[in-house]
Amino acid sequence: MKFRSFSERLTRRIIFVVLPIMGILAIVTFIITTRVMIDETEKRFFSILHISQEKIEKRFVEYVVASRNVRDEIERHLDSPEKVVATMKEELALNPSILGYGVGFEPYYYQEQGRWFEPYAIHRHDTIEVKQIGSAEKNYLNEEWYKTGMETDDGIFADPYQDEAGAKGMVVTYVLPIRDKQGRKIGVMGADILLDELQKKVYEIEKSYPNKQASIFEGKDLEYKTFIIDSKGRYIVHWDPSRILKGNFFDEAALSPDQDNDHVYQDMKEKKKGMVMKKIDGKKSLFIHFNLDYTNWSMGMVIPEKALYKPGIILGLLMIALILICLQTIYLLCRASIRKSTQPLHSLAESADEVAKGNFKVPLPDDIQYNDEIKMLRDSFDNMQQSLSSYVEKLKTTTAEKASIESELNIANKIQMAMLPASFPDRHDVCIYGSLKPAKAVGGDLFDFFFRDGKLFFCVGDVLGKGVAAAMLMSATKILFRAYSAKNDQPEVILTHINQMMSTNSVDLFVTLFVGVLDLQCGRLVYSSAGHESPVIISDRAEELPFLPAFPVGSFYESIYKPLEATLKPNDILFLFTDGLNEAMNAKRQMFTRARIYEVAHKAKTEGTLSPESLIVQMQEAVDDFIAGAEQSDDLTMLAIQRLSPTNLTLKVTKNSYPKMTGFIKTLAANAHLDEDDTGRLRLAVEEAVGNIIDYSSATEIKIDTQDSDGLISITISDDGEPFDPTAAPDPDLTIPADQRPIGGLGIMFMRKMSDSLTYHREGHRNILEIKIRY
Amino acid sequence: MEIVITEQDGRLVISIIGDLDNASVPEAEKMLNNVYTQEEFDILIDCSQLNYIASKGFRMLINLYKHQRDIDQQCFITKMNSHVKEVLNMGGFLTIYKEI
Repeated sequence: MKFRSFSERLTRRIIFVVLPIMGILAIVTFIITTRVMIDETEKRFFSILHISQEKIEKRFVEYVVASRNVRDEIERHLDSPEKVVATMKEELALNPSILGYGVGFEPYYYQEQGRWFEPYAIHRHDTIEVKQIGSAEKNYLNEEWYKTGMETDDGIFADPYQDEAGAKGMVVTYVLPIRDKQGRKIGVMGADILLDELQKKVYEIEKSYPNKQASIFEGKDLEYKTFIIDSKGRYIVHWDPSRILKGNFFDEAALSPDQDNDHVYQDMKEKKKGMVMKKIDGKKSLFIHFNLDYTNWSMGMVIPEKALYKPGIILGLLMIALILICLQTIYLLCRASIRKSTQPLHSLAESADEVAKGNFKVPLPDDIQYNDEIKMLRDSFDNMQQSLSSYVEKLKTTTAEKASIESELNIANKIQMAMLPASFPDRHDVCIYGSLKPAKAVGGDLFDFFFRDGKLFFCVGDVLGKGVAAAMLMSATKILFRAYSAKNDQPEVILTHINQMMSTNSVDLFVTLFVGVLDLQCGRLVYSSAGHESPVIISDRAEELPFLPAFPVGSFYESIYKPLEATLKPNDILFLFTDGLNEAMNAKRQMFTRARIYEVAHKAKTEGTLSPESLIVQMQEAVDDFIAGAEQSDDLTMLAIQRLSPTNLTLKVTKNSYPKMTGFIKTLAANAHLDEDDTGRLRLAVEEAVGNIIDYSSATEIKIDTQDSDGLISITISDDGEPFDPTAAPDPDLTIPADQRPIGGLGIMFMRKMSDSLTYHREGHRNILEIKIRY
Repeated sequence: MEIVITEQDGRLVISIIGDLDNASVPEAEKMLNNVYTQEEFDILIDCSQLNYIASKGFRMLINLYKHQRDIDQQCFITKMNSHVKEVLNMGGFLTIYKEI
């Protein structure tokens, strides 16, 4: 797993908790901020529009007041047309913001002026020009402004028009009736105001309110825009000059159907204020409208939706950014602080690593400021370090002690093993093989054998106990066996002596012991068992050797041991063992059992020529397979004794082949009851034949088969050496004195002379020599 | 097999005890080393306890005779059993060793 520091993990957890809370906070803040901001923005624009309205209205008031003053002056000078014209001239000079005045009189008010009298004063090149423009062709009496003026009581702004003749521009006219002293309406005065003037004024107002706060967030595109429409919906002031007088707000709005349209028109016609979200020129915008006093006009302000929301959104985003920065700061602070407080853990871990490497003296961090869990951990670790240190010291001592005991045990084991027969005899009459596998360094098993007076004395024992004590008793038992069997031929007597000797000691250890004496000549086996596992005799089949129940030696001084007898036929094997074999246990705690011993023995027997060594090897393999590596609690000892046939012998060619052959021939002669001379003849013939094979034929194996019938002994000697026919070799020249004859040929001559018949033939790769001796 | 050498009546009496088979000859020859270094005694082979002799034993005794012949001393043999006598006689041995 990837290493991730504790501080990092803890910090992350804190952040994971803080994050949603901050998130919710951010969202709530965002919503509230946006709402408030929109509200504020709306209000702001509303107030801007208000101010614009007031300014524009103020402008109108100026016009109205100026116009009324002019009218009042004109009414005061109605005496003559000249005075009227002069007054107009005078007044126009005082009002540069007014393009010009025109006064239309009722027909024939001034008789001398005729039906149409309409003086018009206008600024022209820094002077004021007055001309009479009324005529039959230009019948003002039928013009809209005049009619409106006659209808109104107190003056009104007429709808704007394009005045080609007079002002040469977009003109709006404030019309008001002129009354005589009796209060009759005798004419209409119109004050022309160039629309450019009004437009300029509106832009001035727009520009004078850039609103510092808003300008931070609003781009150029997002500026609010203002327009003014007349009562019919025509644009009087518009940011797009081409639409002035040509465009119509109501018509345009009707093109983009909107639920609020009717409501808005209604409001506008009724001269009410209004604020509504509406698509203007295809853009969703906030639309605020007012009615302008003195007119039937409406003023509208268009604020794009973006301009409305953007401050809120930007503020909200700013809040979120702030929160993120907060989170980052919290994260860094937390991590730094946790890291600082967990730093001792890190040092502690490093110290622990050092300790693990075996450096117990490594200093622990002692800069832990707070008395907290980390301090506790450090203190526990300190304790552990100290006890570990002392434990290891103890362990060292113990190990050293153990090593010395072990080396002593090894020596004991060597001594013990040395007490076992080191080698097995190569004999013609008996073949012996044994093995002892101690479960611990020193075992409590033993086996021993020796030859005396043509008899094999042997024993197998198992000390009931383990370890050094058992091994010592095992040694003692072996020595006692040797001592008492040196003069006694009866196994029960040997056992009794050993038992009596062992019973006198105060050590509570017993030995199961089997003692046997085998007559090598006839195969008679006398044995006695002190509670030992009964051996197996492998003849035609494997079976248990009969036994009598008896106590192990060392149990009771008074124990009585009785002998039993059996016969070991040639090639039979007596297989002795300790309970380490039949009670060998596998991991499932199953025992090997005697049944398996018989099985292995039977299998070995049927598979071929059985020898003690091959039997024990196969038995050991079977046990090893069975236990499959499970540790054994008991020593395993096996001893196999095979009585060899007296009629045939197999010799491996070595320098030591002679004694085995000699023993075989002697037994043969004894069995045939040969006298001394015949025994000598038999022996000499065979010895010279075998000697030749050993010395000259490079053979590895010699087989001797014998037959004895009706006073004739036939001996067939076969070997795998180079072909050699001793019968064909010439006798030495006996006429030459013995000391002068060449060496050689003497053996063959003896062989020939000693035997009654000597024949040779080659059979396959073997030399077959047959010697017959009559007796 | 054992060999006991004693001096008796001016002779070296060599008593061979047991079987002088082929296997025991090398050992026997070692035991006779001293006999080969002396130059003043006749030798007498005492066969009273010799049960058996094979060809190499025979040859050993011939070699002993050759030494005696070279130093001009004599060889005697005594108390052979019938088997030993038969074997030695068969090889013409008794023509060089005087039986007494």
